[in-house]
Amino acid sequence: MAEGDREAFGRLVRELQGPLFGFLGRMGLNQARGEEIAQETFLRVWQHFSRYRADRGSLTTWTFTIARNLALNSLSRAASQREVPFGDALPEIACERPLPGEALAVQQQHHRLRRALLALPPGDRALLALIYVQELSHADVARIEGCSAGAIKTRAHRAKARLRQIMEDEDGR
Amino acid sequence: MEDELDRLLRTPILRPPPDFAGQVMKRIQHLPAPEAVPRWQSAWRWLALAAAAVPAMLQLLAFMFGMWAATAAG
Repeated sequence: MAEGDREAFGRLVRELQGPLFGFLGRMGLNQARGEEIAQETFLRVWQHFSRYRADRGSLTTWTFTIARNLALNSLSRAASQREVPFGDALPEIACERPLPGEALAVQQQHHRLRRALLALPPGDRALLALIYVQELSHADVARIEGCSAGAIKTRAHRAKARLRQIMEDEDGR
Repeated sequence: MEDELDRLLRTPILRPPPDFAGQVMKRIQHLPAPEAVPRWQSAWRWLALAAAAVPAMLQLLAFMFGMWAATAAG
């Protein structure tokens, strides 16, 4: 992306907005906070573009690094202020005119997943949220998390096992 | 269970609102275009860092030599 090139930046926003919202949803943020953080992420990419170093990873990796940090800060701020924006007030469902029966099933599954994700520590949640971004490879996630690709696989495996356990426990109740 | 979990994690929980990109572009219109850091400026920073590091290293070595001299004399 050429610096100052608003058109290229617009393309970047359109290309990454879907994956970014997917990531923020898995982080347990609601629609309003997700939008706020997604906007802030893109604004920072624009404002601090001169700090981007192509030799340290792709622009996508850099964008998700910013988003991850903003999301984790938002979660810790909410926790310290004893806000409950991610607890019972679960994020709204993102669906575009699905069939009622299908919509209900999707909604229930998402509700179940969110509840389980919210029970995970933020670090594990961030890792799982990143792992499922199709645009990022394991090496990219390792770069964002600041550890080796091997460590990412181990941590992701553990986090997924923990998530599965939480979901099974919830189902058993 | 694993397949279901993978599938669930892949489905987007949140989606961007219809004109999200437009909103972002509207906001950046009020911001200045990002400025490039000139190469010479970056090189100058490294030079300044090296210039500060050399006396610091010399001071550390002098301290270590002083400690060694004091213990060897005793």
